[in-house]
Amino acid sequence: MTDAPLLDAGLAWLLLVAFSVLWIALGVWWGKRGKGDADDYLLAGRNIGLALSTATLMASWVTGNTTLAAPEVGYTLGLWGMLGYALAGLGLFLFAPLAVRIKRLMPTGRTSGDFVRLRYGRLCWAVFLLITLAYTLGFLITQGMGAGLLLQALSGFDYRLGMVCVIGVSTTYTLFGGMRGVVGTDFIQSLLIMALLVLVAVLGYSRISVEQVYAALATENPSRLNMLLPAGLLFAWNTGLFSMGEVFHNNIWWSRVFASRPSVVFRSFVLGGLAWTTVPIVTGAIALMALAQNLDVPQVNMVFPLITAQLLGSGGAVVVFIIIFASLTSTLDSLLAASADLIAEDVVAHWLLSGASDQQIRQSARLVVVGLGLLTMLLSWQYVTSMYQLLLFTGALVASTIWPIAMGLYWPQANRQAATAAMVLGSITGLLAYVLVAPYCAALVSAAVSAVVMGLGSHWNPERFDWRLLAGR
Amino acid sequence: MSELQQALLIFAIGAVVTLATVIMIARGHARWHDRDPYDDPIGTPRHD
Amino acid sequence: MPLLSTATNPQWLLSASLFRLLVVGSIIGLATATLVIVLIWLKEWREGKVW
Repeated sequence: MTDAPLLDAGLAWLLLVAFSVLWIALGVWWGKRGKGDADDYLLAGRNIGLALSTATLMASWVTGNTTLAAPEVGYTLGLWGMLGYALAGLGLFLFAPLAVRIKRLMPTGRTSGDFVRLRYGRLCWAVFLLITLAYTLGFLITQGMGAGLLLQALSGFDYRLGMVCVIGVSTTYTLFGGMRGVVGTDFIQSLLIMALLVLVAVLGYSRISVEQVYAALATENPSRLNMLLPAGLLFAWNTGLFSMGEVFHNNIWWSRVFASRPSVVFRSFVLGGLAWTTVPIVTGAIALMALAQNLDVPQVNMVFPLITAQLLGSGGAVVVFIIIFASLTSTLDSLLAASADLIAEDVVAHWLLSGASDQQIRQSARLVVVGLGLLTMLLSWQYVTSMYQLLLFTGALVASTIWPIAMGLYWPQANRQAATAAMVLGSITGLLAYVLVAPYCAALVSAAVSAVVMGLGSHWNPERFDWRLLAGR
Repeated sequence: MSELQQALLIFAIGAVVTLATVIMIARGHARWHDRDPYDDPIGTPRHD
Repeated sequence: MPLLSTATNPQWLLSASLFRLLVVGSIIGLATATLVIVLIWLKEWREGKVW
């Protein structure tokens, strides 16, 4: 990284403390609303309106990777990096129709695990839980490491201190606020992220015009404008398929469906998907200014903070700090809350403590939030430079769930053995592609193999699923 | 096969897989749109 | 990893006008989305339908 931190350590501490106190106070305050039962803690009372629902989707999907890695791929791959990353909005967008179906089929459902268990049986459910827990841990670690890296690069904090602070804050307000705290803070965090990104982009491009950036790229770095760039073409569909795998299977998104009012579910995913799609293009466009300015970028995943500080001075560094801090905490809180729901509902209530009471489920969700927070700190303790590579690795796992989940929601023929085989074979071939071909192909190969296995398996041996089985929990 | 040809091949496969997924979801959505969620419109599964 | 090399021979550069449309369009899109979420919240807040 650069020798001198971009942000004065005192100012960074002030921002860290101020936002930590704000999120924790709001989380605790919102957590006191409602009836206080398990549905309230896990799903915020199941009646969230359109504004909060859309905002929480935005905040959860704008991760530390969107603010650090999306500018990085924009900087290294140019247009295909930006467009390919933007395709991750497809996950949210395409989940809209599935969400309507989920909401109508499972009015009392709580988790994505509930669906897989009732739809495909316990063997498939076990495979699904393995995939989702492995992915969740990978995702949590990238956010934890991103937090440490950001505070270190921006303000010279010790890596571990920053990482522990950010995870600690998210864990605290998720613990006390439950899903209400998460959704409420997500609303403010998403508005902060969106408004400040617009501000940085507008101020940045008022200093260097779009035409100047284009001219500089065309002369010095034409590969960034090249629509036939091989690395860009390889990257193009990967994020879209990865995002479908993530959104279709992960309980973050299922819990938002169960938590939202039935009338807003479809619109919130469409709106959230459309709004999100602009974010990687805007952050990528900001990163391209670094190329036009010939800015020295020693570590490419820090290109967004560097160019913003370069163009807008210390005010820019403050804005970057707020954007990335908000994106990290809003993703960590959602991951913690949704994974705690999943473990409390699926592992505790339907496995370890069969017939657990409402109070026991709520209590176990709280314990899991704390446990996961501590585990994330432990696993993020040693920083690995290839954190984005780690996430690509998990793409092979999640993309294998796209077809089993979507087909299982719509077609009674979707067969449980085929679903299990699709997840297992998709994951294995995806991981092989990651190692043998290229990391960017992992999600694609996994999704393709899983689709073929699911389609053929269900065609040859169709199941006659009774949809009413999904009405209970 | 050149580097560009390999990349175009993978790009095309990505587009096909994505499109197939979109079509499957669109058909499923159309199938259940404005219908009782538990009342399956298809009598015998193989006919769909 | 040869597949990830950024060096390439054939080129098809995006035109300046499309580049401008992409950059300006995405910024306007993000600003509009922010405004729309705030307006929806205001409407829901007045009707008591936020939660």
